[in-house]
Amino acid sequence: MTWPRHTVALFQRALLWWTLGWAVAMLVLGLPAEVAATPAIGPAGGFAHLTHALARVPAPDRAPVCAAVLVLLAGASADGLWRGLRWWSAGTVALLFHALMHAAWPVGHGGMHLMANLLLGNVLLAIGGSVRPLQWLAPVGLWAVRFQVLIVYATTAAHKLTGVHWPGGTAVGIVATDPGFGGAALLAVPGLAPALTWAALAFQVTFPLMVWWRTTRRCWLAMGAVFHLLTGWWIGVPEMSLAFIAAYTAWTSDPEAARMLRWCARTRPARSAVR
Amino acid sequence: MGTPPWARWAIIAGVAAHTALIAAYTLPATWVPGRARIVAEWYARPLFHQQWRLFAPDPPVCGCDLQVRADGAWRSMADAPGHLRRRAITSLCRYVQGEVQAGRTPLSAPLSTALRARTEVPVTAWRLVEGCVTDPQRPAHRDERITGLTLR
Repeated sequence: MTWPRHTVALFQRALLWWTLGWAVAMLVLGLPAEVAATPAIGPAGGFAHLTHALARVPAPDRAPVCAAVLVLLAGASADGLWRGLRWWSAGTVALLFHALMHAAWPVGHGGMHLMANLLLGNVLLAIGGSVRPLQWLAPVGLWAVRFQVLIVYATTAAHKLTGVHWPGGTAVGIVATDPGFGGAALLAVPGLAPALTWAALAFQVTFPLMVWWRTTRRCWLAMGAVFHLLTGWWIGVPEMSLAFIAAYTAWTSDPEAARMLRWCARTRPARSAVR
Repeated sequence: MGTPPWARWAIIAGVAAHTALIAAYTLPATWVPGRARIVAEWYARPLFHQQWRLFAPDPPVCGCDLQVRADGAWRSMADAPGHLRRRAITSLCRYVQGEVQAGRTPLSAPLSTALRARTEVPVTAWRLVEGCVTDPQRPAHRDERITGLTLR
């Protein structure tokens, strides 16, 4: 199998652009104040001293520490973009992001869970790309990331199929009339809300299958990008849409990724795993 | 990238095991055998925690608004300035809704702390105001439900 080095380079660039943009946006929007007002909670475990490190900082110090962590995350992401990604910098980005995500759980969303898992896969990609005896870890990382995207759609579809309102066609109507989300105008067009409900469900059910063939993959990735941009804007979490679009880059073929990299006019792809 | 045969099998086994465990962790509980779920939780929780239940299995049929009584009047916490503050309050409201539905009163300590830390003025009372769909075919028609809240 030819190693898809352009796919990996594109994926790593997409991840780092996302973490850089997210860190800067969160700094500007005041994430440190939210983290200061948030007690530690959530799944812990053997790595809690690392993943929940920020959440465990005493409340009075949490805001400045959070601001420092955001600056570090932005710096590590920018460094990876411009100087190339090494395994330790991939690990640093993943660790900092996990710490921020767990400390900021009230403003969290699925896009952050997705990104946290993609960043862990990226650590394997980076190790495999820069430590020769561990080269075999790179495909583990790439396929773990690809399957992660499929798990998202398969499990959300499975949950929705066990409900009443998605199979029944009433889910989008209920969300649209919720004042917290808005969009009640959708109900003015007869049949539109049920059609959108079933279309969303059909997209999520079929996604894990359709990405395996080139023609359908392009179509489903394009539909997914539109779907996530619209829903992210609708429910007020635009960075979630961008997280999914960043994840999609792992499913591009190597020639497609090479074309996109050229289109982006970036002449030097991320160093890690580009061998 | 030259991969020796043993490594190829290690890659396939590693990715398959990881994917199976994450799937067992995130799929509906009724779809996964109990023992597999326990192993998956042990594996996934520390580093790979995720859940994909946004609007699933069903979207919330009740809208959610947290209100506080301050200076003799009720006001919505969602009117707070700042995008992230409003997003946090919307999210906390859903947690409150979950605890109220589960009959957990007073609210849990972390939730109580998170709510108190997001009020700028002295608060004398808290309540959850929900607008609930009664007929899914007419979702715009919603009945109001008000629940007094006790914080820990």
